[in-house]
Amino acid sequence: MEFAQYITYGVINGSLYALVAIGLALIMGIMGIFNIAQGSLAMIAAYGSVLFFQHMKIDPFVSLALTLPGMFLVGVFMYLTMFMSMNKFDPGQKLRNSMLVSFGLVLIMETLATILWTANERTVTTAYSGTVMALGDLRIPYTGIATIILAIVVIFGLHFFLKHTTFGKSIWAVSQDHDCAMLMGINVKRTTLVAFGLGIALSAFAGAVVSLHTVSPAVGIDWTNKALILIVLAGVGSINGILFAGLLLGIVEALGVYLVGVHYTGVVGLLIFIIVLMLRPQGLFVRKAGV
Amino acid sequence: MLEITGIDVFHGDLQAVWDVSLIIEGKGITTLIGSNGSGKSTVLATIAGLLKPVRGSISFDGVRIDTLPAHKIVDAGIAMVPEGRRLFREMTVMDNLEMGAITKRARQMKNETMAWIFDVFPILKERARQRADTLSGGEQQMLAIGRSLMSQPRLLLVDELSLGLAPVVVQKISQTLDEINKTKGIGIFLVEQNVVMALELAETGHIIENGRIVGTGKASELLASDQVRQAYLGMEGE
Ligand SMILES: Nc1ncnc2c1ncn2[C@@H]1O[C@H](COP(=O)(O)OP(=O)(O)OP(=O)(O)O)[C@@H](O)[C@H]1O
Ligand SMILES: [Mg+2]
Repeated sequence: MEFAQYITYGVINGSLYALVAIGLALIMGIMGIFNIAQGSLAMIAAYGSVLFFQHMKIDPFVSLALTLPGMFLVGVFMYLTMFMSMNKFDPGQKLRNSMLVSFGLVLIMETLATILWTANERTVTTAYSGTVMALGDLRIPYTGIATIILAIVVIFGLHFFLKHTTFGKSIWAVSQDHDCAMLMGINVKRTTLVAFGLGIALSAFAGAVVSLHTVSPAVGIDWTNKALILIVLAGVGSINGILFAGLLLGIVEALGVYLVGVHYTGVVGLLIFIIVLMLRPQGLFVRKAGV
Repeated sequence: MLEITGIDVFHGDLQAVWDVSLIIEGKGITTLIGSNGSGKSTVLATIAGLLKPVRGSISFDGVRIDTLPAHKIVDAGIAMVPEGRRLFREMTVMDNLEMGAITKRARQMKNETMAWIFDVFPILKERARQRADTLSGGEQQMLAIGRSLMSQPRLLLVDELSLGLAPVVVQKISQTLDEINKTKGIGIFLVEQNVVMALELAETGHIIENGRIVGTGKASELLASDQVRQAYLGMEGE
């Protein structure tokens, strides 16, 4: 296979990583909650897409209309029952507690998914699965093109929402100064609840894409791993940076495959993770603290 | 009119305010003076709803507000300029102002109010698209005041107007506050360590010590009184 073909797959994988990471980045950046369960939620959402396709023949991109609000409600439930009470903690304690609680959620969701849908891999096979666009020698799967476009639209859309709409800006204001936001008349309780729900709802985008590849109960934590690498690469609080970090990781992994073989993909990812942590611990795409 | 009746306020287990009662006239300028840690900010935060009194009550124009969440108190017509300004540093001047006009009532008048704020503080108009943390201290205080005015309050609470600012800047901003009070009829409740400035600006003054009100009177009389001269002005020379 040609070099350019590897890079193409790298870009597609990277876009998917970014879609998984974006919800985690939002929730961590805005609320200081470390939600390790984000990848597992994407896994659950992916099963949602699979089931809608199997039983009702709804395309994963169309069933987003159902999985997005569904995951939003899951997020609202999670926030009200588990994370809201952590607001009284100091930031470090909040980070640690949310990490522990969400790790518990990972185990619960993985077990639940195994009981409900077995440990076997599942996938959605649509009419366009396996079809490719040929650009000279280069072959680009249509699902890959959809993944890239979705990642761009979702991430830049979220960035626009936070920076240029009144509600988005009020979420951002709460993240900068919780008490002062109250003094401005912002309903902080409702704003954080919606922001958390939104962060969890974003996992539905990743889920739709994942369902077109393969999904199994154990992939959740793998996706979270990739997401964490992206957050370190991008820097906490960076939204657009997540996309670039995703592309960077995807491409570097692809280069690894091209140069040293497929068994070292994980190692290559961790290597740039460590290099960035050593040389630029604030992340590659953060100038000061900012969204 | 704001009526505070016998409030006790705690920070966790620590009581900071004991049995404080105050009446703040709706249209005037009132000040609460006191030294470091005497409980001034605690009183303001309680009016604004960030802290809840354990005993006593607060009502604004006859409506009880101490049971309301903070954002509803803004809706009721009380806005606060917090100590240390607390701007949304990563946001532009314009976005900071927009955040001040978040209640439904304020949002409808957002453009008119902003035009008025730019009229009062022209420098904010020049800096409209700059990040808040690039402003000078005085400009930041102007923005903090402008942001709170965006909610169209009837009563403005100001915590330490003079904090960290040069005397000429304090002079200028306090003059502007006076004009806002006189022309717009917005009541002002100012909390200060800068006793002279506060008592010169206000009509009525209250003195707080160790969380208790220990003096109340006409500002000009307080300024001339032995109590204030010895306790606050005398200390300046030491
Ligand atoms: N968040 C807090 N937790 C615990 N104690 C606090 C807290 N904030 C204030 N206090 C205590 O409450 C008392 C009153 O503090 P407050 O901030 O109201 O005083 P202040 O008059 O505003 O002082 P300053 O002039 O320094 O602003 C002080 O003894 C202070 O140590
Ligand atoms: Mg204070």
